[in-house]
Amino acid sequence: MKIKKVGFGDGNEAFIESRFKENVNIIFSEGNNKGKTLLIQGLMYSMGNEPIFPSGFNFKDYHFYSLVQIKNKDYEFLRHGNSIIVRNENFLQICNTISEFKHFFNKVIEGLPIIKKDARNKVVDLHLLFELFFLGQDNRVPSNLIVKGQYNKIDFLSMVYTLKGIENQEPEKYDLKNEQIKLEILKQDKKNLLKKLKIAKLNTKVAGFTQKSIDKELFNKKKQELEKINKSILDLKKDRYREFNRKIKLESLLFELNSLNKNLSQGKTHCGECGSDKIIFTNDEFDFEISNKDVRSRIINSINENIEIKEEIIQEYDLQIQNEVNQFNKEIELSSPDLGEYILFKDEIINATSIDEEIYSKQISIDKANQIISSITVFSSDNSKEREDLIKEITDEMNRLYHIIDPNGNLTFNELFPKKDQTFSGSEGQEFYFCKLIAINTILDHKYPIIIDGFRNGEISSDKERKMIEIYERLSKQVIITSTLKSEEYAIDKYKNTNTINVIDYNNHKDSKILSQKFSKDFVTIIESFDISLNKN
Amino acid sequence: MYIFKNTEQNNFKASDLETKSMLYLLGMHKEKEQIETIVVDCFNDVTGINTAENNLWDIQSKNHSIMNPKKIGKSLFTLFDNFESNFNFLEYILFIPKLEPKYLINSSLNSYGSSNIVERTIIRVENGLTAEYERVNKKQPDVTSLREFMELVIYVQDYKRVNTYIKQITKFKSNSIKSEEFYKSIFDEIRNVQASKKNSFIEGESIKTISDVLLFNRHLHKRDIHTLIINRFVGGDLFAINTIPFPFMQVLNQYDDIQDQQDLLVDCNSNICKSFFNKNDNKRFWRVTESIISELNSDSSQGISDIYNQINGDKLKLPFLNKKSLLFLISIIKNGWKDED
Repeated sequence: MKIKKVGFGDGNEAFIESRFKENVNIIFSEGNNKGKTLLIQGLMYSMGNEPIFPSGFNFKDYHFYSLVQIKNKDYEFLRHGNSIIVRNENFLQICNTISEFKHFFNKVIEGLPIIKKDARNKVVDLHLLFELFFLGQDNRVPSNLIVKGQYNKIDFLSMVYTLKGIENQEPEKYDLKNEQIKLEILKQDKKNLLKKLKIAKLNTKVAGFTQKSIDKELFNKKKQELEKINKSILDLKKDRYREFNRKIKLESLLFELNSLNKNLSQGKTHCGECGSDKIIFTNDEFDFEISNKDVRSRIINSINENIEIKEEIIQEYDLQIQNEVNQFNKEIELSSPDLGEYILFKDEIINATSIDEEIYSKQISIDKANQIISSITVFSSDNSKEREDLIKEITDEMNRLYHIIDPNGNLTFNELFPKKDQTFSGSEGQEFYFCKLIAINTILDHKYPIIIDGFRNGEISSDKERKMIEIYERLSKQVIITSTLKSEEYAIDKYKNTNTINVIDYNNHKDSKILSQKFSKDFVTIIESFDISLNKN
Repeated sequence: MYIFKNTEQNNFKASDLETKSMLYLLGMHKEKEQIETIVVDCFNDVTGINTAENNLWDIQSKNHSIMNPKKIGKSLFTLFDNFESNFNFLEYILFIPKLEPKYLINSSLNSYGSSNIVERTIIRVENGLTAEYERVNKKQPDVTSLREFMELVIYVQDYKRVNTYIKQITKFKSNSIKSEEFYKSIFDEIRNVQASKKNSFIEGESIKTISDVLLFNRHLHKRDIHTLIINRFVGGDLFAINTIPFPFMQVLNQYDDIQDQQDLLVDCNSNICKSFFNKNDNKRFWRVTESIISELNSDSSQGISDIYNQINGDKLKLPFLNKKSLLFLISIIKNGWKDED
């Protein structure tokens, strides 16, 4: 995978970066707020990453574009909200959800690792894949994933094993009895919630609710915000419902197709003369069947696959709804205690919007538990030694790299995710991530670039930085790193272009204003080339 | 225990090659556009007839494991026999596996005339043909006639892979990657139909004009083969990748809501699936596909609504295909249609 071009913006202002080369690219500026992070996050976002933009940047208002070479073919991605359009010379594909995009990516662009999760095979989400080679500036917590979503660090390790060809198996051992008890509890919870919902529905009118005693303006503002979130929750639920309906439709389609095929075998026709049941159309020269077995089984497989994708899309909606509900709750917690009556109002809304949500999520957990229980009997071979060996191989490489950049350092890495209580001070966190990404690259020998936003965060000394860059150069693959320089460093032209290093200076960008009209015409041309009017955004 | 030893094992290989030779004639031959009908096992293994029914392209296929010059000559007999008949054969093609390079002047060619065969070999080929002629007709062939024939005959080498033949036939190109088996199953279907054409008895029958041969129902129309292949491709792509065929955008854009668009796509795919599974009304569905293809053949720049009107979409009343689904089907076929340069 090679990054060739990144752009983002809207009709009025935009930014396009196309100076990337296939070696080490250092994007730098003196001081912060020059747009380096927006560029890197924009790039990853365009390829389906979870948004981790600096606060204050309304990413939902913009389009994000990238031109990326994957397996020697150029692909263009254009993302707006959760829709991504993919284009190459042969096709244009519109994906309306990130799950859809993932499956398209997996099927058409490049196969993604498949891991076992909750007792079933799952194509990993792109944001999990990106953690193999991408490190953003924010949310860094060495002990866990940077973007969690529905994944945990065990899933990351599963992915690493899979990429090294170690058989994919559920790392956790389930205890049948335990799972059954869990299932019972879940069922009971669901029952209780249903009761609660019934009561909540009885009290839908807020009695004597007045706004007299509270600051009207504050109240209205708050109310608007909450209503906005509430609307977004309702919209998402509506979308989820539609998707769910389509899934049901496909499931019934499978039944119908089966019965259409059966009709024929039930009403068997025999030849009156010889008794043969091989009756084919030969009148007026028509000899072919309307479809053959291969076509039919291909259709059935595709429908099954589609149902699975729909399930994932529904889960994606679940997560989004959960996020919005959390946001809603957070807003309410931030309310001042003066809003006494308002709190009353809150209970009503919460009851209305989230009890059935909770019921729904219980149902999901029940399904999951059922699935686990039904799969527990499946025997899987023990390859814990292979797994341990692979982790050791990676951590050995990490330690080797660590001693190159910090010969006197006293850290030792034993795991890809250090324990929570292990704190890294100063530059140690940065060194850990550096060693981890490079070691994973070396041991797995993957085809992705290395992308690090803020590669010397945490006051990495100049000596260490020099050694790191040397290591990047020796990878002989595309590396994109950003760096914020102090004035005195900037003044002496710290980074210089060489055969293996391509420096890109962002200093001339206005503070907090990477987007400009200068690029808007080109960007609009790009967007229009996607026939964007097709994409109702 | 009994081991089957004397079955006609060559039959399978031979009919494979016959099918390939037919697909060659329809998909790769320089005059493929003119060839409209294929006659099986009448004049020869495979014979192409043009629309006006006044020209014939004759193919004999031979699959000997060792193709020595004598055998090549022997294989040419039926072609030569046709050459001597008073019917108008335009071309005489011997369809064979790759020959040993030592027989050839330029062994990289896939089709060539006798001039590409080294002199020593061509003499032995002619001897083989003469010997076969004498065996059958109990007399010597006319030397000038034989020389003239040898100048005309064209040798075509088998390309081996079944998908190559299938892919070349139609202008429809599928977006998704299909397995070797997928192509093989289409190939087998064509082979079986071709083989079933031989089940009637025509030995000793005679005809006066070329068109008389169609009375024996030993022929296949080019459009049937095209329809079959396109049908299989379209069927194989349903739900497989959710790419929206470009021409369908005009229908999709009538809906503002993405969710409505998604519903429509699922509905259209589902309806076409049902048509593919519905064996009770397959003839009409087949005719629809056929007429869409024929519309595209006559003018591939037509819009999908034009095609819909041309094929009388409103009056078709197919069990599952409502207007939008039919437009979707037209869009898929139009989208895959790649005119050659």
